[in-house]
Amino acid sequence: MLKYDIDSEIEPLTAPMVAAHGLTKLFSGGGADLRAVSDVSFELEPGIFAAITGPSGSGKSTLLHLLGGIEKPSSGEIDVAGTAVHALGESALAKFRLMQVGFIFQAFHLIPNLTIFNNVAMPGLLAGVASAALRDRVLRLLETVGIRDKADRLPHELSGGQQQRAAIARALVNDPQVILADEPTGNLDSAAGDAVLQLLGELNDRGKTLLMVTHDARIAGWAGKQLRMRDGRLVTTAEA
Amino acid sequence: MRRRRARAYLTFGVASIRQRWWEAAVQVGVALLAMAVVGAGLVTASSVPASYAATKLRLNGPDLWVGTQSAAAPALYAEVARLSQVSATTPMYMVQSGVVRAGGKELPAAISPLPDTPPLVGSLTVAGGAWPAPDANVALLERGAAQSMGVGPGSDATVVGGGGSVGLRISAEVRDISHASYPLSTPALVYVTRSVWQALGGDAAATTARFGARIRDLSQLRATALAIRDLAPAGVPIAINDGALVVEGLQPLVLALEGFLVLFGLFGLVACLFFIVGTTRADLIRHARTLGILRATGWSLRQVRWLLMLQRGAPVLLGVLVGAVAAVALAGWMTDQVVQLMGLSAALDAAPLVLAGTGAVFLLAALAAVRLATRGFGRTSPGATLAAGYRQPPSRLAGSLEVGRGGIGPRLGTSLLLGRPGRTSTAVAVLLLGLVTVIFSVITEATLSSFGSEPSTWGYAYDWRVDYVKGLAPADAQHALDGTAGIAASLPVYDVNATIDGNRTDARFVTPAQDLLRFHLLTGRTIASDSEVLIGAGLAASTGLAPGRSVLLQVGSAPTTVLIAGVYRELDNLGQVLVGRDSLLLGLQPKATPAYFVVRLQPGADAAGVRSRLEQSVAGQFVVSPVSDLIAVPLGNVFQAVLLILGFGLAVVAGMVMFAMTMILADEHTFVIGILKAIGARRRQLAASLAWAAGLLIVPAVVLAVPAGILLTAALIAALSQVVGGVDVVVPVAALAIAIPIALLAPILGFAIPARAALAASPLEAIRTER
Repeated sequence: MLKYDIDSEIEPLTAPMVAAHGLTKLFSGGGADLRAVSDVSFELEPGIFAAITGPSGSGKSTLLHLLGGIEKPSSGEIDVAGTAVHALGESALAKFRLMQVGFIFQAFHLIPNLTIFNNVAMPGLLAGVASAALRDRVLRLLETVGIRDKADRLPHELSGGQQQRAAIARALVNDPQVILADEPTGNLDSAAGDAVLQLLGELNDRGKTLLMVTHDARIAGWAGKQLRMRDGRLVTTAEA
Repeated sequence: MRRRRARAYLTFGVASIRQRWWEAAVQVGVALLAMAVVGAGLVTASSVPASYAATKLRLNGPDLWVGTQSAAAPALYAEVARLSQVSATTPMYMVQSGVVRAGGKELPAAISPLPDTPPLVGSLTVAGGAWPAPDANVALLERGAAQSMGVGPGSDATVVGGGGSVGLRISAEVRDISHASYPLSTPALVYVTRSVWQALGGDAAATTARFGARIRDLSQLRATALAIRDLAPAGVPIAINDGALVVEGLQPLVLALEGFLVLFGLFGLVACLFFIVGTTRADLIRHARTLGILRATGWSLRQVRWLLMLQRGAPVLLGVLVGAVAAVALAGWMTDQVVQLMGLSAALDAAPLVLAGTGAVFLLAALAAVRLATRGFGRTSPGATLAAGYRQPPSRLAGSLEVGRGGIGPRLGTSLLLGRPGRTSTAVAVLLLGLVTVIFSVITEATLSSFGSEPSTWGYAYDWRVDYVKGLAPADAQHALDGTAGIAASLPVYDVNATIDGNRTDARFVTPAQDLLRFHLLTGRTIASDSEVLIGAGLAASTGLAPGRSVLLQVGSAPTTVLIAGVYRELDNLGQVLVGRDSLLLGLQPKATPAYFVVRLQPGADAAGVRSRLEQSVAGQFVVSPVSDLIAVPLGNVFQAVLLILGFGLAVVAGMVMFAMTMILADEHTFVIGILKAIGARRRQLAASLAWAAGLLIVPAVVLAVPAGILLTAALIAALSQVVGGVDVVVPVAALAIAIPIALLAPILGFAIPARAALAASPLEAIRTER
């Protein structure tokens, strides 16, 4: 059972937690525009565990990046936890990424020269969380994801599964309402992948809204809702 | 198979250069500039003596020049000709002290008769005219003097010698390598035909004579020079190669230039080698991920190394080749500037050898850097390399990012640097050496400037040196000086040969008028009694004599014991000079006569008017030389122009390398910046951490570089001073305070440009960036 107990109570929202309207992303280069995401619209209610699926190159990761504020849309609107992400400036976007979403990457993207403790603490440090409180929070999160004993290790000293657990802990440290995971098990073996999915499921049980990108139908089966993409378009939306 | 492999290397190499052409351009630039500066310095250092040797060969010139009193010269000439080590001699040139007036100007002159026909062994070459007939009423003027007076073949001139004055025409210019030419040395050389020589009083009016000798075995040059020196009877002055003894024709000032050139060249070589190794190593580590992919896709370690050597070696080779061309051009210009003053033709014979050696060292350094940077390859499997890159494990020093210590900026900045201590320390070392190079250049230029502007000899409180022709009695000369209105004081200077503890030296004796006796004292104090002397820095360096030492001074056959009171700056005769009171000399040689007088004018006196009255009072038998002309280092401008180019070039190399190094380091942090941005770090926070990282990198380098640069440069210049004498280190605080911040702009910009680009990029763009 998940021992995650540091989050404040999540107030029930009637409005969608994640919403996209007419979302389009064009990449320029090589003399032609690539339409990675094309006129995508959907809404996700709070507390849902959704999966974005589709073949490689269908635009699912780009969509997640747009929702997480690490790419800017060419057109369309994004609303995440009541924030109009598409309208945010650079500084406000950074604050949004810091406080309102937690991002989990396929390649973990831990900072190689920081210990696991410092990697997990980093968003808290950036947010200016008081030291003692942050230390407690980081240690409890590491306990939660099962790598408390690895706090002083460097990322390269951990297995892939352990590194991804650290990345999950990092995503949770500022207690965001939405977790965005881009192929979180893509670099892991099936046992480690299942453990990570179990962890994500437990987070969802605690009320976190979770949006995960995957191309694997089995993994997508863990989600309560599936958004299927092809050629940049959202082709189907299905409840589990 | 081999061809296919070569094609693979080429394809990859070309693709890398096309993708990141600026990296290759920086490597080419650093190699080019380093080669140009270091090569030019070393080539010039070798080409100055080579030019002398080549000119000597072309003129069939002698290996040694012997100067002595005119009366003793014939006997000495005959004895030297009989020496078994001597294969041939030049004609004996008698020398009258006098003056040449032409083009409205006047120069002190050493007047000699020209042989009727060009001698087989000689030092003269006639330029811009023909060898004159023995009865022609003409004179030949050395090139430097002619240029200084603004005259040439066909100009009218008046030559005043020991026995009279003759109006004549200048028929040609000569180049004479027996002496360094005017203004490198005074007096100016004037050659007259036999008939003019006789009109000037002939050999009877000559004061000195000189002749040259060729040596059978040049390895015995010094031994032969010493043997010739010992042929001179006691008390008879003898100078070999103008006091330089066995330094072939090169004057002290040229030796100083040589010293500075070698100093710049060798310092530059060491610094540039380090730069190439440091930046190549850091740059390779940055591309570790690409190397991991290559290994995982079938490239062997050896093939990867070959590829890297091709990628790094090709730009360095290109830079070295272009730099060699630039070095030849620069060295040619610099050599020309120096040797023209000496009446020589520039010879760059050693250039191919020096440049090939320097270029090979640079190229090998680049290849060695590749080898060094790929040392760890074998310990990592291709799989591991692909997964985590070949990147070495980060250091635990990065653990400084503990919760609760300082702001996020300093903590993150420190962590960024300490996480890769190897690269950070390389960067600090490159910055350190870069700043030391800049400090070295600034201090050396200032020292050089001071070297050229400070008095090069004693007695600089005087306004004039007054030489008198042999026909004028010293008492009459003194009387004329005393009776000329506008002259505040004058005193005779005795110039004789002496030995000090068995070491031959020039000795000068003057009246103890302390207000007129000015010395640039290096150590000790001025003379306080008849039994004390000062010695030049060159004599102190070559003999080990120091203030407080009692020594045996022998002038002629009379010995006496004197105390060395101090050591002073004297560039004349390589500082192989001793100065004492005239009462000391007159006690040993009561009949000694002054060589010349020094004169100080009354404050506000009309110098031209005083000079005119003085010359009229002795019918033009005085040669008045302003002391300011005598004490200045005549090579000053050329000297500084040449070395300023080298110093500036070296500083630019250092700046480029510091720029490249910090750029590599900051570029490597792009990945981390991307992650931090993705998890919500604000631009301001990241900028603060990068500013801290830059500060932590640069501040220690500055703190270490300033004292290290000053101490190292002082030590190198002190070593040079041991050879040249009287080179005082000058640390220009104001110039350093300007130069160091300017130099720091390079690494700051090098850090700021990629850091700014990373901050401006989207998080994903930054994460994807190849480090």
